[in-house]
Amino acid sequence: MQAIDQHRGRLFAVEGLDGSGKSTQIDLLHKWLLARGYSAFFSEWNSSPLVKRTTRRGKTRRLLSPLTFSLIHATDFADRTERSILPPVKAGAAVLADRYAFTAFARDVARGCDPDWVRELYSFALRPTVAFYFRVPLEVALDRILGGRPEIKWYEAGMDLGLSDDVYESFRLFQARILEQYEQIAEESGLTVIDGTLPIAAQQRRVREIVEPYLEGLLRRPQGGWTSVLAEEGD
Amino acid sequence: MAQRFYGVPVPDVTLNGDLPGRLVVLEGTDGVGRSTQMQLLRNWLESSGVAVFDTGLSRGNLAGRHVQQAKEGHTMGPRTQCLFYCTDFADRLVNQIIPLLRAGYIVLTDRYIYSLMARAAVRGLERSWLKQVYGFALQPDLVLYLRVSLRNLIPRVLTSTGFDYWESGMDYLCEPSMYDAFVRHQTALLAEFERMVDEYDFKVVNADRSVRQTFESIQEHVCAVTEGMLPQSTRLGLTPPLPVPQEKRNEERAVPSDRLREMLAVLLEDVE
Repeated sequence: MQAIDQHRGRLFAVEGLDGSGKSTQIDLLHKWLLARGYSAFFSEWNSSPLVKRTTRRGKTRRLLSPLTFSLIHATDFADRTERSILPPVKAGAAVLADRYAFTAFARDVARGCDPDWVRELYSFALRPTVAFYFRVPLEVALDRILGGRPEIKWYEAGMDLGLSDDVYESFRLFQARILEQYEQIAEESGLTVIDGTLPIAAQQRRVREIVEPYLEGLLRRPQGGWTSVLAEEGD
Repeated sequence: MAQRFYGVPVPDVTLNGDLPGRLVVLEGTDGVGRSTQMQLLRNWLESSGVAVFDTGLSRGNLAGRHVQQAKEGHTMGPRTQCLFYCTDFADRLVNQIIPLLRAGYIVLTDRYIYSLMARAAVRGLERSWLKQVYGFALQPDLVLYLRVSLRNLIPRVLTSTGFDYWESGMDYLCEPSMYDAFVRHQTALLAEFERMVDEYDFKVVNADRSVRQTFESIQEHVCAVTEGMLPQSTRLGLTPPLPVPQEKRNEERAVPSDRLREMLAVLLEDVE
């Protein structure tokens, strides 16, 4: 991955299993940064408008193989890097990423892609200032997701791997594989581990403590609009 | 016969020496005459009784149409463009090329990873990265590189499609004139292809000559790699166009086009 030190901005990413609570945490972090007047942008995995239709087509029609699954997500990631991650970071702002390249390292390898190939594929990615890994035991994550017997999508459950004919069982087995990858990646890439079984507020306190030292000198949001009116009234 | 991947194999695909078909690639820059040669080649091989499948960039079921549409917006960065094409290529490799080679077809492909790597390299992407990312590609049995000089290329492009935004590198070159951009971009592309000649064992075909002469060289190379597939009676030279079954006339690319039929008619008249 590419060093971020040369840029003035910062990049914070969250990783973890479905149900690890990472999205909740990054959402809270985002609001906190905005409230403190920083310029903070959010980038979500698999959200590039350019690539979305292809991913959707591939998923609904089940056209994706492990290789094309990996490449279409890398295309999405490249578009977001070129369009919405690198420019704010260069400009000195904070970018928050809900899932990052480590998600691909975990999922694509769980699908059978070569680990070194996937890492090379994403070597153009900026290395995050901090990449949090929300660690939860498999059963906790599964309970959080499967508690309400929701509809699990085909690829989400790893049905393409033929692990089981039962969607829920397949999802369990696939998540176990992903967890195994995450644990390796956390060590290899020095992810910052947060205990995802702690209360939400306790996790958030920890996240903010870790982020705090990196905020000095970050770009601030231009004043104006309703936020500044409210701020003045509060004086 | 193509039995090896360049680098890390396609996940879930094993090659146990069971691809009896042949993978033949036509490479060369924009406007060099690849599609004309593809049509002549397909017609000739089918006349000889061999099953042929042809494919080309952004023709995959998964991403092909979307790659084309994304180009219309002029909003793709170089890495995104590269990976989008790569996705389409991977889709065609896994779902078309490998299964058809397994079934014994001669698969003709109009461009392969080399064009994709050249386009990305001239736009500043790292060659070593490209080589590794595209490592899952199958090594073809034959890579025909249609080499053309810029001097001959310009009039051909002018009289056929005219200069195209992407083929002129207008997305990355800071040139107000499309002609100047085209010259700079194509010069850079031709240099990239030359870098690859030895590494990827290109068979260089001089495409500065006539369509007929170029085609005859191509046929010789194809004969060399299809030994045992073509009947003894196979003749070199141009073949009269195959009749087109009525119900197939509307199927794009399934049969020689009307343009080919006209072209062949003119060329065959010359011979007589």
